[in-house]
Amino acid sequence: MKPEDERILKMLDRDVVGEAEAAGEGAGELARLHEIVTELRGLETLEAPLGFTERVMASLPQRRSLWARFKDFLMRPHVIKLNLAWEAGLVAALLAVGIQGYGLHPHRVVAIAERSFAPVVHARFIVKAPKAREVTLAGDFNNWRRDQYRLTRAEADGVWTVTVPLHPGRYKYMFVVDGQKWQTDPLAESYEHDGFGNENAVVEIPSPEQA
Amino acid sequence: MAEVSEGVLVEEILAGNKDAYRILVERYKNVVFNLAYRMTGSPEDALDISQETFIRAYQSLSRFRVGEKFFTWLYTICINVSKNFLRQKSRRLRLQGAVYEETIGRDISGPGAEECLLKCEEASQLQGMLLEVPEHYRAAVLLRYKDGLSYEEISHVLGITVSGAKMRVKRGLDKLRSLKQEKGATEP
Repeated sequence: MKPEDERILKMLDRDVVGEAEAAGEGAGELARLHEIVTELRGLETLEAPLGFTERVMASLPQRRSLWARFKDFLMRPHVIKLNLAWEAGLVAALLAVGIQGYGLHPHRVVAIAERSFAPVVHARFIVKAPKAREVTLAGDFNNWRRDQYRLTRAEADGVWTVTVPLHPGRYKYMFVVDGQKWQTDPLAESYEHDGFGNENAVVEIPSPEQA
Repeated sequence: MAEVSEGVLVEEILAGNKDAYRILVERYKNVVFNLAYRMTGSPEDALDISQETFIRAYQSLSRFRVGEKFFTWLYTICINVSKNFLRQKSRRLRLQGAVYEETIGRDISGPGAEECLLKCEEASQLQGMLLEVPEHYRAAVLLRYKDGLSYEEISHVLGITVSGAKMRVKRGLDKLRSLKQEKGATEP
């Protein structure tokens, strides 16, 4: 921070542009900065939209004990993904040391890397749940985390929606009602057994060119 | 009636009284919404960012230290959410060239209409220029002159030194000045 800049900031704070002008100390620059500061201070203060507080309060997650969260973690299916796209150097290094020996084949690494550069499609998920207090979306696209995508309720008809950015591909997902009840989407394109007696909904996200 | 202190409210919320959070949201919703709006130039984006800010603040409330100012803590979250949002958004569209319609929905007829229109136009121009200022300078300038934070408070919000805060404010102002000169030179 140059002493000259410090002096200018102090003058702007003390609103002494007139004095500076009279003294002829860089008056032109100071006057222009003063004009900008005045405009910034005069920017209108907007009101947050009506119903904002209610919307926030309705979106707050339940506070859960550490033990409950740990149990959730143990019960939740986990998908381990390797995404090395932005670490091309690391990929090259791994390939160079003979990664095949560890069972990770080069063509698989390339496929994952290409996928992360694929275009993003904004997919909207919709479910009708008039009695629900909270609806979230979980799927293999977010490691089945149920606290990441919160649906917003349309006031009148009990329809909940959320828009999620996804790379083109095939995804399994479920809705979670009131933080507890896993619910299969009744309007899903197709379904797949999860191996535990339930069915996951399945969605195919086409690339923007195909959509 | 005296305002309930933020420390007391935070303790209440952590003890399980979720409704106490409503008081904090009511108290700070406008400042957070405005900061998000000035950072993004879009009311819709500002709404999403403000909502996300309050949700994240609630989720990490246990990390709020007693004695800390709640609003500087909230501002830090809001600035971080805004920056993440802008980074994601910049992949999808360029901000420059977007239209900023601040006058929509406002009654500008009647006495003083011309003055109001002029002010709206000035404010809209300034908002457009703000969006051309790099994010870290933009945040510093807004916190200093729109929200009236001290340099100490800005340094706390942005996680930098006081000297760094002053430097960012000055560079932000310099950038706005040069943008204003450019626009003045190109206008007929």
